[in-house]
Amino acid sequence: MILADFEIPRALRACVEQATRVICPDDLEPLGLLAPVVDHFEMSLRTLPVHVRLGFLAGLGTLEMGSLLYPPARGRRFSALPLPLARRWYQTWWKSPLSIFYQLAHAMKALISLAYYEQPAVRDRLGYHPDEWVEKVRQHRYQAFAEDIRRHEAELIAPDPLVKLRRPRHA
Amino acid sequence: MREPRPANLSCREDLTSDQTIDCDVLVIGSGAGGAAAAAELAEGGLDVAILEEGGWHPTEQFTSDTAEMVRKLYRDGGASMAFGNPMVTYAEGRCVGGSTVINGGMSWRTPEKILDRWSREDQVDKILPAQLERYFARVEKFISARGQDQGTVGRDNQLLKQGADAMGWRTVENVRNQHHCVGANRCAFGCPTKAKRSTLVSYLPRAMAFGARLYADCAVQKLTTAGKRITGAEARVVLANGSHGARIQVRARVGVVVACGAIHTPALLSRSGIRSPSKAIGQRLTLHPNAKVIAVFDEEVTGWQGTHQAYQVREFQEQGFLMAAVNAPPGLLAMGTKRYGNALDEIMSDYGRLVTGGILVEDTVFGQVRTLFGRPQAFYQMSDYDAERLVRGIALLAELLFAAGARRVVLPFDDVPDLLGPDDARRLFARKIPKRALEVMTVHMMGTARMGGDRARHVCDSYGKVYDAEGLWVADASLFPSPIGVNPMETIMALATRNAERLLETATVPRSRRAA
Repeated sequence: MILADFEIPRALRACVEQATRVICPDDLEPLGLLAPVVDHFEMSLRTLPVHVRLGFLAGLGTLEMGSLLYPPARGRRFSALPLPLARRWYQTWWKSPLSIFYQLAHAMKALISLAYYEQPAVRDRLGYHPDEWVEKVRQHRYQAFAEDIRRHEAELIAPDPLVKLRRPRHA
Repeated sequence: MREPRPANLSCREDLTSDQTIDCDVLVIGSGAGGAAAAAELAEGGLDVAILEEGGWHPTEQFTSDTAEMVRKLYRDGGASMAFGNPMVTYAEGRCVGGSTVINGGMSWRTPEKILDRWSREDQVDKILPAQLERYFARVEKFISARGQDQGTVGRDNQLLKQGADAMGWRTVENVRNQHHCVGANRCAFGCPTKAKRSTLVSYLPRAMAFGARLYADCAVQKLTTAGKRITGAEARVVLANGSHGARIQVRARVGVVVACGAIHTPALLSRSGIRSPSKAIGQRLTLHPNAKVIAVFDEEVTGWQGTHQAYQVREFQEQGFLMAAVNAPPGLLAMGTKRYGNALDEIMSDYGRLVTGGILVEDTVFGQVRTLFGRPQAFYQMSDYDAERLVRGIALLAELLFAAGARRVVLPFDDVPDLLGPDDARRLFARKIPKRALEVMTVHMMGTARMGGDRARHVCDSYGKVYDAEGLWVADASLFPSPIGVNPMETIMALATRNAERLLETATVPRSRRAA
C-alpha cells in the first residue's frame, strides 16, 4: 500500500542519514547523494504495509538509542557517532545473533542500497545506460516485425475458429 | 506507440462514488489465472467483471527507473517476507496483469511426472499430459510461447551456456511468452517493448474484446454469501495515497473466480468465512526457494543487453534444481547482495562484467499462510535437505561459471569468502552453511488451496471448484497439489482454461439475466 503522505519522523531522519553514510560507499556525500538516497528510502517505506513500516520505525529508534548502551559510543546516539564508530555499531546489528536486529540491519541495507544504486550519477559511474539500448531494440522490433505484430494483435482479439463457442445453459 | 485506453476499463478516477456492479461471473485478480479464466468465460458468452487491486500501467509507462517500477508494479515494494529460517523474500505483482507483468516470461508446460503424481496421489481428474495438450496449445497461441528469435541472446546467457557445455551439462533454450522479443531485458519491471506477452497485453485485451469489464484499483475486502452460495464481493477503491475510497458491491449471478495468488487467495477465503472440510486453506505452501551468485568476468558482459534467461541448465532437474542467468539492474543486484559500503561497491564497480546466476529448488516441505488481522502472513521453514541442495546447487553453478571464464564468484551466504576458482567451489560441498546465513527469495508461491479428488484432503475439486461452497472457484497457483519444479505461469493458465471450460459446461445463468 502506498501512503503518499508518510514521512520519516524528524527524530529518526538523522538516524537514517547516518545509516545511509554507513551503508553506501565513500562517494555518497561528494556526489551530493545523501538527501536523494534518504528521500528514496522514504518512498520505499511508503510502499510497505503499515505493520512492517511501524516495525521499521521501531527498529530505527532502537538502532539510534541503543548505541547509548554501547560502551565505545560513550553515551552518544547512533546519529552522533563518528563514522568509523557508527560502522562498528551497525556491524554489531548486521551480525547480531538476535534475529530481529539482524533482519532490520539487512532490510535497511537492502532499501538503502537500492536507493543508492538507482541514482542516475551512480548508474552513470557503473556504465549502466539501459535507455539507449531499450530505445534501439524497440525501434528495431517495430520496424522489422511490424506486419507480424499487427497480425498477432488482430488474432488475439478474434474469436477462435477452432473452438466451438460454448454457451452456458439458462435456467 | 501509445496504447489506447480500453473502453471497458475503469480506474480509481472513474470510481468516485459507491456503486453496484452486476455480472454473471466475477473474477478477482488479473494475473495468469484470472485473465485466462476471464477471457475464456467472456468468449463463452458470460458477462464477466474483473476486479484488480493494482493499477493499470500501459506499456509506455514502463521506464528504466527500477525503484519506481517496483513501487508501481509490485506488492509491498517487492519486499514481502515468509517468516522462518531463513526468511524468504517473495515478490508478487500488484497491477493489472499481476505477476505476468513482472515475471521473466518463462513458459513451460507442467512436467509429465508432476501431472502423473497429481493424477495418482491427488486423484485429479483428466490431468494427464494428453488430456491437457489442447489447453497448453491454446494458451501458447495466445501468449505466443516460443523460442527466442536469433541474435537476441545476451553475453551473460551465452556464458552460462558455454560453461554448461564445458561441464557437459544439459541446457535447454527457454520457451518464453514473447513475440519478437528483442532483448530489452527489463522483463521484471514491465516489458517496455510490448514483446513479452503478459496478460496486460494478451489475455486481458482478449477478455475485454469479448465484453469483460475490468475494474482496476479495487481491493476486494470479502466475498458475499447467501448460505453456502457465493453471491459476489465487497470491494473498496484504492486511492493514490493508499487509503480506501468508494465502496464497490459486485453481484455475481453465476459465481466468483478467485485468482489472487497463493498468498492472497487463502486470505480472502478465510476472511470471507469460507471453511474447507479439509481444513487445508492456507496449508501446504511451497515456493521454489531460489538463490543467486554473482560471477565477475574479465570481459565486458553488459548483461542488460539481450534476452532475460535465454537458457535453463536442466542437468540436475531430476535432483530438483534448475540454473539460469538472470540479469538484475544495479539497485536490485545490490539490494540482494550480502555486503554493504565499500565492500559492496567493490563488486558493483564491475557491474558491466558481472553475470548473475540463479538456482531454483523444487522444495520438499510445506509452509502455510495464516490470516492475521485480515492480512496474509506466510510462514515457511526450509528443510535441512532443501538447504543442502541449495548450497550444493550454488557450488555447482559456481563451477559452471568458472568453466565459462569467471575469475571470482560472490556467494549469497553470510561470512563465506568469495570463491576464486573451481577448487574453492568444490570445497563448498563439504562446508556446513547455517540456514540463517542463506539469502533466499522466490516468485513462485503455490499450493495453498490445492485441488484433488478427496474433499477431506483438498480445498478444491479437480476443476478448481471449492468443496462445500456453491459458485466459488480458484484459478491460480494455489491449486497446485505439489510444487512443479519449473516456472508455473503456463500451468496456471492451462488449468484456468480447462476449468473455465468446465464452468461454462456446468454453469446455469439465472432467469434474471435473460430478463436483463
